[in-house]
Amino acid sequence: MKKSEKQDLLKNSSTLSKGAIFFAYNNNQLNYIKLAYLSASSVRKYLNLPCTLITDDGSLKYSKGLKINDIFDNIIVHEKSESIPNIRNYYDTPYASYKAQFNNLNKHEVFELSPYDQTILFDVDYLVNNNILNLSFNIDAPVQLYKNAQTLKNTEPDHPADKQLKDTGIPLYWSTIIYFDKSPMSKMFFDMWKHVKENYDYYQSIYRFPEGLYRTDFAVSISMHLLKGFTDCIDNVFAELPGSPMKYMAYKDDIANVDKNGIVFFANNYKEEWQNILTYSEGENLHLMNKRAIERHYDKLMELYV
Amino acid sequence: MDSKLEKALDFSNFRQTLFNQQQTLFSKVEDLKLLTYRDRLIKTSEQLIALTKTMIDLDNVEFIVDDVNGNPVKIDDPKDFLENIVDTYANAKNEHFKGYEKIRKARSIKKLVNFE
Repeated sequence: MKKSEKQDLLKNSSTLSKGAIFFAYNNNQLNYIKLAYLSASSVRKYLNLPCTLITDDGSLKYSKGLKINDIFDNIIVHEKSESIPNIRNYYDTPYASYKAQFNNLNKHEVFELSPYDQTILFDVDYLVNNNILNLSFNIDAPVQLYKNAQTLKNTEPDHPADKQLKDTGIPLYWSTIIYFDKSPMSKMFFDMWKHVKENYDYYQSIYRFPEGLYRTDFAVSISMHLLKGFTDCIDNVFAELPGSPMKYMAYKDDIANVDKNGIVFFANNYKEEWQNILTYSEGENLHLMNKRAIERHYDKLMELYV
Repeated sequence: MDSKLEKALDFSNFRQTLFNQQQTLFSKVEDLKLLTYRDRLIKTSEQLIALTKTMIDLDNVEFIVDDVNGNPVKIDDPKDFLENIVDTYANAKNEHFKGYEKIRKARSIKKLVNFE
């Protein structure tokens, strides 16, 4: 066995616990626990990590049909501390949309809630299809997240707000997946996130991003900007996750088919919405924003992770 | 076949889809070239392999390379490092070749996107 492999094994068998965490608070349109179940299944298959679900009593009661204990090692019932309206306009292809409460106000509390020494926080609409994120546990950076993202067409995000907070604003960091440990630096990051959340209107006026919806991506981006000394430098404390850019299926894309190895998508043309091209994804990690599309193909998607 | 699919297939251009699938494969291969070494993320390449082999041939017991962020990493066991990077790089390029052959042989959009 190679020396470095031995070191990796040693690291893996060390006392540091590793795991994945999912927040799932249902709203009147979407069953987030069902989505978390799918995402956690993908994490277990490809990253072999124990999974923790953070949810509320109402969502948990609604998930009775799912065998959530088979997938989640740990279920934390953590009621939302705030019930401020945070209404999001969700798209399902260019032809349908719906509004629903976006329950993301307590995501920064994950630092306190995580039972692991090293945690990867996943959004429930993220599917893991390879093991690259396991590299994050071996990198000496207490906080890791994605800054760059690309569409199904392998291009930069179509929407300006998915690249920068405004035209001439700071770069966007995605809160879709965040690796963190229990170091003071990580704590500082989550404390800053909390501070930005609590003063969101003030930071909106300073950073000039669109008013209204509380987006954790924005809160995280501002926290990074503040903690990096108002510069956008590459450093070893707040690093990019391995596998950058993060690939995502936008709200207006759709799933055409799921076969035994991958997913065929309709990648929508942002400028000419009646046009789609077909793309195929196999072995790539994917952020699937169109949650209704996941629901339509749920059973087939689950078969990918059996 | 539903009308939405038919419409999408009509609009889809074979070369566009081919290019997109090649780009997707390229991204996957770039990820496969990554490995961690001494707590750092390193991307393997022909140059890195050549440099490491040269350092070994010149009897350097340690040398410095850059991680993906341009930070210096000390390689204190060049032979072990070489073995690691060659393994990782070779695996990535094998996957590249397999994926490329599959794409190269596809003669329709349906075949390119595995939609049979």
